[in-house]
Amino acid sequence: MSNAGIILRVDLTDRKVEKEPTSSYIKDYIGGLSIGTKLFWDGVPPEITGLDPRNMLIFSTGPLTGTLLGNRSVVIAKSPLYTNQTIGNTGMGGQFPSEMKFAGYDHIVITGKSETPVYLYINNEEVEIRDAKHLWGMDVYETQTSLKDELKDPELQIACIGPAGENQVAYALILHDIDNTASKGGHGGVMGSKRLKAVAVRGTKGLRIADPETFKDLWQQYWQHNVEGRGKFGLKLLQDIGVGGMADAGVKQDMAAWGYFDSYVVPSPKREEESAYFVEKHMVGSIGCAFCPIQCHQNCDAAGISGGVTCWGYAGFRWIVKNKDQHFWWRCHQLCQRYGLEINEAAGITAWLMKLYELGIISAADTDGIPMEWGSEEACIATIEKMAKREGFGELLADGTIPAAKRIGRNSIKHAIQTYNKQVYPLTGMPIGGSAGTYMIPASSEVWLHPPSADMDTIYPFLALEPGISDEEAERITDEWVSDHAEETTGYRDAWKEFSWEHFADYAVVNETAISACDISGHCDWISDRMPHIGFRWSPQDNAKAISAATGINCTGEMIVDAHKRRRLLELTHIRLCFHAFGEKLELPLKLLMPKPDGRSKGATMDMGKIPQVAQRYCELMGINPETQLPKKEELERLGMKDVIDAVNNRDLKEKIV
Amino acid sequence: MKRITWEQQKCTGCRVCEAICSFVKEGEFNPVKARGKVLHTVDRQIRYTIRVYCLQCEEAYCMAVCPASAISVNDGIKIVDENKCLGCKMCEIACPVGAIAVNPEKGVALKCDLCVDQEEPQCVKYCYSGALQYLPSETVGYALARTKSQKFLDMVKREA
Repeated sequence: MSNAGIILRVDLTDRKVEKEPTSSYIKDYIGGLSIGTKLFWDGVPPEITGLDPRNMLIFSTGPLTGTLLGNRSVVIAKSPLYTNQTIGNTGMGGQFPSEMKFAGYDHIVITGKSETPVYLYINNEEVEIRDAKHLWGMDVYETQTSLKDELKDPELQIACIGPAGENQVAYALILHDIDNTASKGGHGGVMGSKRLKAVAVRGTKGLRIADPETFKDLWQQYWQHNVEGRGKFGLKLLQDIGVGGMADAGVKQDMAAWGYFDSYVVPSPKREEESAYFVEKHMVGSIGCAFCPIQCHQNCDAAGISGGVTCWGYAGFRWIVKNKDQHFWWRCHQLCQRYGLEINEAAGITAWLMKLYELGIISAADTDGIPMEWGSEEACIATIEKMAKREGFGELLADGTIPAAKRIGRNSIKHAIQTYNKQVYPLTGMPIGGSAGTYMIPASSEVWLHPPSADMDTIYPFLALEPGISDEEAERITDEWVSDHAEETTGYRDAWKEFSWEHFADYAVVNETAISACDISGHCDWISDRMPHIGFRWSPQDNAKAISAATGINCTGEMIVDAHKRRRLLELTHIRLCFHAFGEKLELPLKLLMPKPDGRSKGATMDMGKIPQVAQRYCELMGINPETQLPKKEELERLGMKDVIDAVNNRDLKEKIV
Repeated sequence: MKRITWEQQKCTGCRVCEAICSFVKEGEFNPVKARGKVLHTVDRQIRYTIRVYCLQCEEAYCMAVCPASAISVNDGIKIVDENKCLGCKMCEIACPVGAIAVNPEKGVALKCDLCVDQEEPQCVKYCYSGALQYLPSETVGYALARTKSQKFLDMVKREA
């Protein structure tokens, strides 16, 4: 059935390959992110670092991955980037996850560390750890081309790392195909620490559907709503100019940080500085994930440099480094991709250095003679090169912002805009607003760093890009769509609004569950209930129905919600234990907590006093004790997770699960 | 009869047609069993897509070469009778476009029958980009001329 049925375990130290059935995990954890987190919890102690050989690198697909209703995977590992080396999960789509399923594997769990560079070759039942000395040092594109040529199989799907991953940079990513990446959390660095250059998969098995009639009905409903119905416009826009359109809208809404969060007004933006303009001029085709009609990545070829871009890619190395030249951005973007470096992390750190340079905290002598002037392409390119290779001052920066600030000293930490050692995304002005409440709870996934209210700000005028729809009309429609969703799910129409503190946690949990349900099933969380403002809907209940039809195993919305709870409680408990083990305090990005200096939201600020209230409500909804920040005993018992109670209470931790 | 046409310029390479084909025909998701295949080639980080599918040749070599007479014609559509098919793979060799392969499990030829049992081919029904169309044979020429002349028309209009 649509579960491939096997978890593949690869130990690179002992060069051992084992296969185990997925079945025993399905009842409680269903699939994807939840099973992956359970595998992680069972195998990775909180005390180790992200680069420790005992860390696991887990590729998890869901029961819908490889069907018309899913194509995604989640990559899970202890992150070498996040404060206190907590768990990080990051999504990756493309063709790779489906191919994994066609080869017969729901999850691939990689542990240990090879002495010499290797790659993992999977061809259906055949699994081999092979020598990769000849691939070491290659960029992500050369690696894939070489492997396909060498193995004479153009249909291979390959996920690999570039030099940044090899050098264990804490924000190195894993890349597949042209620009599908597992980017947030430094999973590329984890892969590099294991000396694993690539995973190459070829599968020819099918995924049988238990109830084809029901499955087809669901596919038609999905199509009618998201492709032909309310989602029609958003879908077309995503395909034509992608999230670049949202980036443009963000600039118009004064949401793009100009020069490391000093201002939110991009000076006199011109037409040729818009993402839409770049895409119109240079797009040669669409790319995206298997079996998805949207193909939301743009394949561009500009001045001899070609590649793909979507979503996050549109923000890095632009306004934040005071650059408005699209070709400059494109050169930096493609260089980051080639090296396998996460662009927003690289851009954020570069912008931070520029700020320090402006303030006289650092000089060119600190950066190998390169003056970190605002808007300098030379400075940006040099920083990318040095970060990826850990050369010169790149070595200083390779573990992320906080370690770099500690090495630099001179109070440089005060100017760093990071959360959990991760640079803040420069397009939404976070974390002003409701998202701030979530700072009370240690975060791991992007869910917390990218809350719904922050998204809303950027996306508000999205519909207004459609000819014939005015800004006011767009705001009215969006408000209606999201309010409908909020009311349906929380009972409160205003729950999603940025300063609606009262029910914010309720909507945050709804949003988190919607995303999680997709990561569990393998469905894309973009075309889901996470994005009602673009017109998309696909709820945890829809995921449950599709999983039932596909697998023949009864799955309900409540079961998905519980599977999400189990994985979230494991994740939060793990984070709690990591914080205890490493003991590093969170550094709040103080500058972001100040009133916004200019633009449409001038003066907007965070009411710190409201944070405990939001956190309290979140804890209540999730079954967490706010004092100990550990799950409640009764909730764990209800979820059948007594082993977690023992595992935590047997530790040398002052607080206990009660 | 009606035919499937594919316009390379419009195709996004999403592979929905591949997925729906193996699902409708075999009850499973498996590109290997899809009648029409979507081939991606990446060169210098640019993805090129070619769709390989049965063009329903007027003089069908697959049919001519079949030793079991398992392929018959119905209103121009060449259809494989799975009960008669020997799995000899002669049609694989004969097909000039690479659109037939033998099902590795059932051992019978996988060949497009334009979804004769449905109102239209499902690949066309769910082709979001409009690259696939199902058109009466006699209008195909005009339809293609119309689309492909669009660029020329735009140019002429700009100059006017």
